[in-house]
Amino acid sequence: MNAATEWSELSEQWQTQPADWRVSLGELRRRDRGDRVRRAVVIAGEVGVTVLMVGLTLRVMGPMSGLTGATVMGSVIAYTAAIWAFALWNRRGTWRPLGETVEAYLALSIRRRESALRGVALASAAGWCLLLAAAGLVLFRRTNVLPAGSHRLAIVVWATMGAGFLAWTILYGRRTRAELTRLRQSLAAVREDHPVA
Amino acid sequence: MARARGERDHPDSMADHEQFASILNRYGPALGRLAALYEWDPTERQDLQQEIALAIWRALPAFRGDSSERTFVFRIAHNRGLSHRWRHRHAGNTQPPGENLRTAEDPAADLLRRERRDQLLRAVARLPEAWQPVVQLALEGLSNLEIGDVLGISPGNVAVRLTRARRRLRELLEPQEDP
Repeated sequence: MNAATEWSELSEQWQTQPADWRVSLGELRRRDRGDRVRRAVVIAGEVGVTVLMVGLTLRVMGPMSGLTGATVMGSVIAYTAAIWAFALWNRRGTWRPLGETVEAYLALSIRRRESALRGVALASAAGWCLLLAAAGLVLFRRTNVLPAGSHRLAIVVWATMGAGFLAWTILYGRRTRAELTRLRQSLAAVREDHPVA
Repeated sequence: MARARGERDHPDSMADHEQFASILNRYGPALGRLAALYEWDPTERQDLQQEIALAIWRALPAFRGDSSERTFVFRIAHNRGLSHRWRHRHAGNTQPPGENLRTAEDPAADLLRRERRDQLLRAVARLPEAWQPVVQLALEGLSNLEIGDVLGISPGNVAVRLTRARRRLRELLEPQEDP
């Protein structure tokens, strides 16, 4: 039996496997709807967190006036604008890959994970900033710079969010790094005999 | 969340529905076999099949005919399969493939033929990761050019891998001698 015949028989064996292909259009629509809802929730969450943080910060700094108040308000606006600018810049070139070749899809997926890790670094920095800001408020209250009992809500919210950001960065960062390792292995496998230039 | 150009949430028209249904009918069995290669657990495999179908559903509007429909569909399917594999971390599923594919079998079917099919699937699953998609696509009847178009590698590279993979498959499929 020559190689061509042998391969032809294998191909026939392969194609007569029971494929058990079962796809439900109702299930597809349900998944599609679920994905759209999740995306909307993520965006709403990002906007909500921004509004909450800016609002709380402005409320805490409210009593300050003059140059100090203007400086603080300007800093908050600049910080928020920088965060959003980074978020938009970080997402460039990471569109949803679907019909690309496997090699291009893997390369793009790697870029998306690397972008995610940059976001993790920023979130970690933001988490520490929030914890430091909460600690600073506590210090100012104890040293009577601020009235005792003031800004309790801000302290609780900032400390909770700061701790939450840090916990998320640890868990999400670990998972993303593991995915990145597997992606690079897969890309190396696809590019076998054709090393990256 | 960024989306690909032309991507949409759902088919707009009856023609889109018909095209999608036509694709599923034409390539469904091949996609089912591809899913079996990436996922041995029947429940997870069903999930992967839905993911593949959903990805095709969304990508169809962006299909401009720069590749054949077949390579377009298989690109999406392999990309979804890879995503599924690295997301679920299936580094060593101890349950052999093929066992789960018997559920739809006709009990009267030739036992030897079924064993050979299962043995082939297990042998392909044991090939190095770089060779599996090449072999799967070749067994589905794609040319080296089409395989290269799916994977993003040259036809020459496909031919080299296929030669090595065939040699290894032959070894894996040879009857084992009794100790």
